[in-house]
Amino acid sequence: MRITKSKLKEVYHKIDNKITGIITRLGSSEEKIVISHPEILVRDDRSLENLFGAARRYDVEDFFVLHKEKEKRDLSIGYRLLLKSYQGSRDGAMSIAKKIYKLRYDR
Amino acid sequence: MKKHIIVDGQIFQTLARHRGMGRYSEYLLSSIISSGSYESATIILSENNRGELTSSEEKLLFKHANVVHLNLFDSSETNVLDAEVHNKIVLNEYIENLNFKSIEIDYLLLAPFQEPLVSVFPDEVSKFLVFYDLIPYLYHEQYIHKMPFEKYLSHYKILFEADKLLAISESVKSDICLYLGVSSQKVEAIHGAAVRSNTPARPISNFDLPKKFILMPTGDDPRKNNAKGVEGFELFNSKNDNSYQLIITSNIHFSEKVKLQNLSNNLIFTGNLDEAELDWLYDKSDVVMFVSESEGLGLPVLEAVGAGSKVVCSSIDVFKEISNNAFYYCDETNPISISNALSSAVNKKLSSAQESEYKRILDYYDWPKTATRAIDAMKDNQLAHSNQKKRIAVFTPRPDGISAIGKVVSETHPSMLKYFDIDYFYEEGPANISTRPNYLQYISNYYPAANFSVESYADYDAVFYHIGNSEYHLQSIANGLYLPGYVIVHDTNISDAYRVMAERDVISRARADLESEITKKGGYTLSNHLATIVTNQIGIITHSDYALNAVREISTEVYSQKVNLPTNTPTIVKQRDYKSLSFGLAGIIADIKGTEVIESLVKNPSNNKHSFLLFGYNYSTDSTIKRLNSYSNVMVETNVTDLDFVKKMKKLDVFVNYRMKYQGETSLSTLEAMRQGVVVIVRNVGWYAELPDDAVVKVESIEDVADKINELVNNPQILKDISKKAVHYIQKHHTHEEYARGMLNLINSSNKTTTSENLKINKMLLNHKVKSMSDLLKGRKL
Repeated sequence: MRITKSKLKEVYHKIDNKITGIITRLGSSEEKIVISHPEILVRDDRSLENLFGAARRYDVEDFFVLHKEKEKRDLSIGYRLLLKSYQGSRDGAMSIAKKIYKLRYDR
Repeated sequence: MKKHIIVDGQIFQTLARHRGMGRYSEYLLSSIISSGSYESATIILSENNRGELTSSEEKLLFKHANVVHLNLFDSSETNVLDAEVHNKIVLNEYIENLNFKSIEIDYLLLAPFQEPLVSVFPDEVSKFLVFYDLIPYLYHEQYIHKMPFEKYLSHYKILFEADKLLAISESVKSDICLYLGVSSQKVEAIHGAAVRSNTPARPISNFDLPKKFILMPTGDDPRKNNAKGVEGFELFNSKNDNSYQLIITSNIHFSEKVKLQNLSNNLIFTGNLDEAELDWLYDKSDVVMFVSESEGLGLPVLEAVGAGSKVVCSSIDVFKEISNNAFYYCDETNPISISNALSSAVNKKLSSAQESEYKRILDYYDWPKTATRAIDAMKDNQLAHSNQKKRIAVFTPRPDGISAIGKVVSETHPSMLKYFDIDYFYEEGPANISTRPNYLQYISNYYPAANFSVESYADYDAVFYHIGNSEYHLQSIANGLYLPGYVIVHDTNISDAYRVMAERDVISRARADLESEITKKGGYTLSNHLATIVTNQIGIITHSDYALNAVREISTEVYSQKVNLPTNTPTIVKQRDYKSLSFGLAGIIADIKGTEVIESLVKNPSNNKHSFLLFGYNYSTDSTIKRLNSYSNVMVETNVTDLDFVKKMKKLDVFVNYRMKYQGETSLSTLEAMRQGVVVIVRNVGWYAELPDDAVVKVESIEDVADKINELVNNPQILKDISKKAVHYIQKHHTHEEYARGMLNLINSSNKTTTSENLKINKMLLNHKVKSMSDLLKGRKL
């Protein structure tokens, strides 16, 4: 069976995703954040003004405050270095492989 | 005072110089130079010559021009972006060192999409490029795996940077306007002419020319429609005792050859021929068959005309544009039609009418005249550049998804560039369907909407949120709810979007319920779930008076204005005779959007003679589609590409768009039907009611639709009048240019008049003064 360029690419990305996925997972120190939302607090009379106020307070808290916290998932320094060195060697190897392929087939 | 022309001639350094585009470039360039319209002509070549152009060939080719070799990069060694930056610097340096000013220079790109070249414009010159066709874009499903498609789309940057595009036919011009949203003023059709060899016609060596044959100049490309052509030929040949042979030119791949040979035993493959040999074949041909699905210009047709051969060709715009009556036209999708056209063409001499038409064609499609048209177009370049562009962020559904809003955003991009530097923040859609290639991601800053934040907000003069009632707008709504910007309202009922936000945990269920309570408490009768986002903005755009009233019902403090939803009009509009009618329903096929109406029409026996076509993205149930398909005169096609959509829309005479339930929306399908001269029947409600009475047909109830149709069927003149007025209306009132200007006006006007509360927060955000939740809530009545 002929292995096509796109098939090779697919396999490459599959393996690459696996490796980077494992490093990222092992390196993430924080627990998976459970998404939570702020409570809706409306003043007693539930007037339109108060409803708008409650909505505004909720929106700012949910999208500005909580959303920001949800974003934080940094890698610890050791794993970050490991990921960088993997990416560097991967790109180096790929560029050599591309050059060999070019010399071999694209003359 | 004569200007100077500088031409990017790198195409002559590639193998493509021997093919259609290269030959076209050579003839055009030589005619421009010999016209004497320019003070000087300079050809830019790359120092990094790929060996396809020897110095002696170079001297011969450009004997009347200066040739300059610069250190230009291509994409075989460098990535496109780096090559673009490098080449621009090199060209700018070169232009700076010239003895004349950059404003005296017309800079022409001959082959903007030729791989691996990376052609760019230097700054400050007048910028022009020759545009051959939009075929890879339109047939993207076929081409995406056949060529470096990302690189191809990256080149669209220069397409939009050019001051004027020189299209090789009116059809190409129409496509550019229709599919890319480029203004027709920015495109000029210059046409072209037949390409003949510089040497006399020469017989093909070791080739026995059959006594009776049809010539099929073609290529190994699905759009060339080779299989249907061969099938048509075979039908014709069987009626003529198999006495004809079909001569097929060009290198055809082995597997394709086998496929064609399975359809006919009377094929002769010549392989690639040089021009003198091809000229010889044309000269010897009685009939030339060219049944391509799509062409930029159709050089084989012009070459056949030049040789005095009869032409059997597909009935597509580009060939009809050459002549409406000189050829034997066929439906390229139907072998019987191809066979009939061949039968009509053989054993006949050209009629005197055809002969005089051939003379007219050859007179018009001539290289010196093509050059004159190109030079005139370049002289006529009056496009002003805006120096002070506003930097804006635009939240948008993915342009390649099924959302009409993504399509509008993509098509408005060329007009927006005049006034804005744009960063796009895109939202993923529901289905993994690619309706059109997404070039925005390669030619502009393009980020996931989820990446937007308070920090990014400060980078922009304005943030635009396209808001609609689908899962394409969740991030737009979320960001619009806490960061004041400019909302573009596409639906006045966004309750479904809120529902999905709650389902996907973007907001809590209680928050969605609260918005519902606000709608009720506020007594907002024209909108649903729209209030909080509207009241948090600096400015609002609506596409109808209905939606404008809905917004003003919520708030009169927030500045709001109406701007018409834009769509471009084709420069070639189909002429209809209304002898037999074709009815349609297009866009998103959903039960609220009128499938019932079509069904009730189909069930009426008096409509048996008419055909009904339903096409678009399917949101109906399988059983609905199955049921509709079971009627003999109904055809349903789901999940169509842009090209299919436009082609099918063009086939219609009447488009029924009766909304069972109106939700404050505008319908792009309606506008797209009107621009093609299709008569649209709409329900007299909301935005539809605001359309001019003489440009659409308005009905009050479902029962009225059938009555109106009967009236129209019996009065083709009414159809003609409405069709004409519809095209005129769209051309005049729904332009992308107006839309972009509307957005600019919104920023300028609302900054003076809108609610001080939202403006104050905007200023704080821009000055990086929002550090905590309370900063964002300051001044609000909570």
